[in-house]
Amino acid sequence: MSSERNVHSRAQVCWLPKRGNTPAEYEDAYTLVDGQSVDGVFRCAVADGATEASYSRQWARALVRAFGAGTLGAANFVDDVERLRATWQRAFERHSRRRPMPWYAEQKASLGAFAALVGLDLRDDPATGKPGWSAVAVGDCNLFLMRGGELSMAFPLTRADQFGGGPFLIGSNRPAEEDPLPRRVQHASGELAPGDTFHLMSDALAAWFLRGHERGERPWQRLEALPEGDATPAAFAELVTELRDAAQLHNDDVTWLRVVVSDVTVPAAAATDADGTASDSWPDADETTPF
Amino acid sequence: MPYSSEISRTNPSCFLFVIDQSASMEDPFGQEGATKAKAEGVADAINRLLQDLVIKCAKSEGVRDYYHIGVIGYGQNVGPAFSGDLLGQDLVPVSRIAEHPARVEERAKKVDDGAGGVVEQGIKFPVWFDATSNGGTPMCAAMTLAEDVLSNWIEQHPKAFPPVVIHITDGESTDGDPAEAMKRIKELKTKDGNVLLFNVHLTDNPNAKTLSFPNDANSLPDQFSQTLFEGASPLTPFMRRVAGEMGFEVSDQTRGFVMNADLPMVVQALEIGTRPSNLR
Repeated sequence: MSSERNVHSRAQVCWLPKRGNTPAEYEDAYTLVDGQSVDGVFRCAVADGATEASYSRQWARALVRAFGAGTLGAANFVDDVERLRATWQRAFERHSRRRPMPWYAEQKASLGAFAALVGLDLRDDPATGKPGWSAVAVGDCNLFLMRGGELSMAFPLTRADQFGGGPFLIGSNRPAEEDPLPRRVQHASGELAPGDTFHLMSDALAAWFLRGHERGERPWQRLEALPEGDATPAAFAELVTELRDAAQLHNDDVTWLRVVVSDVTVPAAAATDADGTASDSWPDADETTPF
Repeated sequence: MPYSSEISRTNPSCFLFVIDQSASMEDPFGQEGATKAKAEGVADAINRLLQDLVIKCAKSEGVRDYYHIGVIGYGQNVGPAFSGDLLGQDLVPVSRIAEHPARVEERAKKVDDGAGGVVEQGIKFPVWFDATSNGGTPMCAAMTLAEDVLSNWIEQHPKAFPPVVIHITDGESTDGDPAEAMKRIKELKTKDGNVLLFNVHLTDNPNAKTLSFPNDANSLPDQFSQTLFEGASPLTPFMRRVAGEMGFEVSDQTRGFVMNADLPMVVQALEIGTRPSNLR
């Protein structure tokens, strides 16, 4: 792994709870960890805790924290989740001993917490040395890759009508029967180019994004027009309020995380492919439909 | 679009159970050879449903008042039927239901032992509603009381997801034809749609079959079941979708009517009415 910093990016995140809920009731979670100087990897993730379960906020946070720390990764996702579940169970048992729960809280908690997750890594491909990205997802948190001003990829959901159907979520309890998680994890990866922009979102905003795209609109322009820096949260809140008022956005927790790749330095040895041609190809992504 | 209102703490919805407590509810429930009284089976089902509703609304910080819930019993008397601290109250926020069961029983539940067998495990079973069976079947009076309770509630919650009424009975009304009273209940409405009335019929008629969510009254054995079928609301599109996912053959004529279903079927039938699609 090269210690040279090959990817230069900037990132920002905005979030709002459901209208009518307090910030303390926000059940999405996110992480942004620029570990390029530590292990050469930039990581970010968005998770969405299920409203109908209890302790979903904590479970969503546990997932993104593990992703940011590199202990929940695309390569061994199912095993990593299994380890996280074991840690979660131990922590939960300690919590229950310290603070006994009423009958309903105990029964609800025994059903487990649930969350959707999408996580993104930016790192050099160990095989080619070229800077690349990889993503992992379960459920309906989504990633959009913008390249050259156009939507280049939606992952894992690619159509607006795929939202709202009760997505499969990562549970904090290991199921008694065979765990369906291995069949539900989706992966995508590719090379990075300067100017690439990733948008990671929880489901309400992602559904709005895809609906707009399907109508021939350019919903990303609304997001990309938001000022960067300190002014972003207020401008984002205004946009969300406008969309909710116009019934374009389902009233749900909203999280939006933007990563802009400002520069990509390709090491000299990796600048060309073995056959000598310049490498600007777009590799096939697993289980996704590139646009 | 009707039946699309968000259910939230500031805009809760409502469930009202109307339960036959007449003397005939003492008869056994379900299939031949059954020994449990209908009244006992229904009480267990209602308590289980109340428990499910509480758990559905429970979050780590407490119970969110997404619903107001009531139980009206009719037999020797007609009136609110909660036991314990909630005695005499008609509609109660779900957080109060959670905090005030009349008692919490320990019951045995059979669970998989992980080695191909089953073991009994003790579970907590809160009880809010006790089995009662005496007197006649004053269905009209019960429906009229339900109408009053719901009218008041709707006045205070005009934008709510419409209340759902679940009526469980084994027989014929002894105070007149309930059709008109049922119609009046279904005519009540919020801005989001009309009140939904589900009828669950536990009949002793030897010609009766187990029947769930029929599209027409053709296979019903008598006028009582026909009255209950016709009194029931058509399933909403969401309920049709859930029923379809559960394997029922449904159409836009399908009504919220169930006949002679055994206890799990009754619970399943009621679940269709109580499954939220849009909680906040």
